[in-house]
Amino acid sequence: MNVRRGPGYWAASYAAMLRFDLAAQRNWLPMFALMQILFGAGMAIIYGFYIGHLPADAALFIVSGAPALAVLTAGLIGVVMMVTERQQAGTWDFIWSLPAPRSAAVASTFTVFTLLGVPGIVATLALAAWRYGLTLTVTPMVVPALLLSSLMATSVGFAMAQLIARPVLTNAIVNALIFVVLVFSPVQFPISRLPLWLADVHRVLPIYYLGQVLRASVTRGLVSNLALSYAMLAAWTAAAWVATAWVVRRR
Amino acid sequence: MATTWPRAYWRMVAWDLADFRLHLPVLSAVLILQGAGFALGIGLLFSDMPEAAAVFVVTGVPVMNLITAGLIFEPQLVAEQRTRGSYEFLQSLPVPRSAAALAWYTVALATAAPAVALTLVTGVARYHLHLTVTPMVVPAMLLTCLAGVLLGLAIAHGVTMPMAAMLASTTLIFVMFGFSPVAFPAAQLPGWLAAVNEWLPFGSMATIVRAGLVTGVASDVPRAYLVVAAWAAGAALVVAWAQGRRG
Amino acid sequence: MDGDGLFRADGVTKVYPNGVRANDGISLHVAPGEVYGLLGPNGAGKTTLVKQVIGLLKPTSGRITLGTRDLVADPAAARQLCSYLPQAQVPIDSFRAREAIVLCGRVRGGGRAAVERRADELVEALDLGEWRDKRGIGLSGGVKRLVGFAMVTVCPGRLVILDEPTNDVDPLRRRLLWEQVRRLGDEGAAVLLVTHNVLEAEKAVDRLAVIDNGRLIAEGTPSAMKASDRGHLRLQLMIAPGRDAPGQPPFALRSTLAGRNLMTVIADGDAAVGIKWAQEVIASGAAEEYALSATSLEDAYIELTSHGSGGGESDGEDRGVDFGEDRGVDFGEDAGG
Repeated sequence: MNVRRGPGYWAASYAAMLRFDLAAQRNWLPMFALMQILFGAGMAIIYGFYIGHLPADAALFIVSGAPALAVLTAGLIGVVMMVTERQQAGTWDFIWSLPAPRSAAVASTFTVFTLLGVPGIVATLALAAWRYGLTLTVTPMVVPALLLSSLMATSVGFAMAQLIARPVLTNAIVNALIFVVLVFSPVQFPISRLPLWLADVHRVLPIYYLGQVLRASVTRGLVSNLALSYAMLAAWTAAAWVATAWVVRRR
Repeated sequence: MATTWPRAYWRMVAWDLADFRLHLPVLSAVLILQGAGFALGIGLLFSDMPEAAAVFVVTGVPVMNLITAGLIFEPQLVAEQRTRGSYEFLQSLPVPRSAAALAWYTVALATAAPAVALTLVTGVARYHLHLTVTPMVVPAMLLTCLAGVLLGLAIAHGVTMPMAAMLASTTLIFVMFGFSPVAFPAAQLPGWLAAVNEWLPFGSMATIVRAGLVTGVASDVPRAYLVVAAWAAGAALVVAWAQGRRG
Repeated sequence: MDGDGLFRADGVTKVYPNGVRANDGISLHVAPGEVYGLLGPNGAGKTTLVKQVIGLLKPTSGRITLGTRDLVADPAAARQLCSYLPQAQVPIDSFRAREAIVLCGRVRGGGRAAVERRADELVEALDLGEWRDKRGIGLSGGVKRLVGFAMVTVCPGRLVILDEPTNDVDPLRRRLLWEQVRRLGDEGAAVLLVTHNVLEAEKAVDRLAVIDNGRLIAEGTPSAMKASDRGHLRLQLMIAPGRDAPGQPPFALRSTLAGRNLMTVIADGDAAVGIKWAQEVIASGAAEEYALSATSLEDAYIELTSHGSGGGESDGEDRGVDFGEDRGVDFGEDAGG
């Protein structure tokens, strides 16, 4: 009885799980993209209604912040809904009993959701820019920015849903978080407007940095702490991976 | 073994509360966040928030609290029941439909009330507002909550696919928050959207509640009452039809 | 070669943090080619046991081995070597039926051509052609179950674990499924089958164990387990509504009341006496009908589980109830009917 190990086996398992996960999310795809556009472009447009008359620089701030909202909500809602749906149906038993190494199975899920997130972000930017009549300076940095942002949101959402393990609670927390994110994030307004304590909280959370990274990829001169922002996103992603590795291995 | 209507009603309230027990504190917290939180946070969006905007927000957000429990939570709960398979069981219980609906209405009101109160208190304090609360605010709020519950029930029972129901309720949250003149004046919407909102319930709900909280801001209040009542009645018809069908 | 693929559980005990003893010293073995049934009431601990085999749970104490491999120490190996069909539905809403089988086979390491061929065979063998390309979300529970079975057996492991595989499946396709289970055994896999359907188990398994309250209380071949009832018959009385059941007649060996049915077990020599008694009860109006039939595994099972956890000793080796002759370690080489 041979038990296969090693990088070759890992790669083969990863590829097989990718095919599996892509098929599994097929029904999801339209909903996912729609949510991103609603939360990204939709919110950008809604903020405009609240403020009334929007000066050009405020409009640029809001539009360049819209992709961050799209990414955050995709990570919070999209992957979390998948995890909680399987928790409620009890189908994680089947997934975790498959012979793929845990890391390969998780990597596959992260890959699929990260990639699924990208079109919605692009659509968001396009829509929001068009609504406010702005032209954005898209730089090549947009590729790593999109991928890292999407990966971070997916990883954190997945880790959180697996750790909490109670679907109803997770859904409620996500609902609450969405509100907080949509209203209190220094993504659609400058961080200087926040009360000091809240600004400090956002220097630890990934939300502000997510906004900065994505904003820098489509504007010039608005973001001054880009290196730090990338580093924070990477740190949060790593932390989420550690948490995920622990929670999916426990018996 | 017929149960009297009042007894059935109280039993359903007890059932809903028990069913809801785990969710209740969390959902109340969500509503408080949605209410007081939003009212506070929206100020951040403005570099310089005019008082008129603050009044609109603080008097509009409680409306969102009142209808969220019915419009959003109920369809989500029912969708969950459908996925888990307990929907058919619950529908077959020997409780008159009206008692069940009213029981749910009671629970929804109870969930929303703290959030409404907190929103108003926080908003007034934060933005230094002066509200003139009149007794009309009570029927306005009761009617608004009822309409929300009935609309939520219409979606929950009328839309059979759990996914579609979730989608419907998510879309409604968006419309309520951002594309209806609930927390901002209709003038700030593009003309066509403002016109559509003359016929949607949300703006009218905000109008009737606002009229009970502050003077001189809300206009066309009697028409607004009619719009809300009509939507409530229409939703009730849909619910009756959906629950009566055996398709 | 590391071992001959013999599956062993030795003294497996699982105590949850809240103190619940879901499994208590369970020991059993399944040889390659053997179909072994785990029977027991709901909550007996059957699913807990198999989850420990596949690595979803970790035993509090005890060993689980396949050949010479320690499955508890190496859960990744357990998943490679074993296939598992859980009790819950499989998550295939977005998948087309045949696609789900193929993709699962690929995850299990099968080559594409072989997996596709085998998937087509299974679709044919389980009569699923009608739903071959339909998405999971539109399939009934029974069809999904069959697809799930195909998914875990398209590239079966050395040990195949099936937790209630025939739930919701229609009677015709149930037979097809049992045929495939037998085929798995014939092709050399060891099959561990969890079921609460006693009569089906009787026909499909080579040996079975009865688990109750976390303990293994009986083990043997179906006929060995019925052996204690050899030479016995079941006499069933349907009690009239509103009337009390008559007491156990003197010639009855034992009786159980199930709803409105009084089931008694009698010696076959007492058949005539039994029928006479039954007719008297009917004439008195206390009963409506009687039925006389051969005893089945169900009677042995009811006898075992209605007495609680068998022998009562908490010693892990005690199997509780003997069946037939005590042949030492292994009960029931009797291949029976």
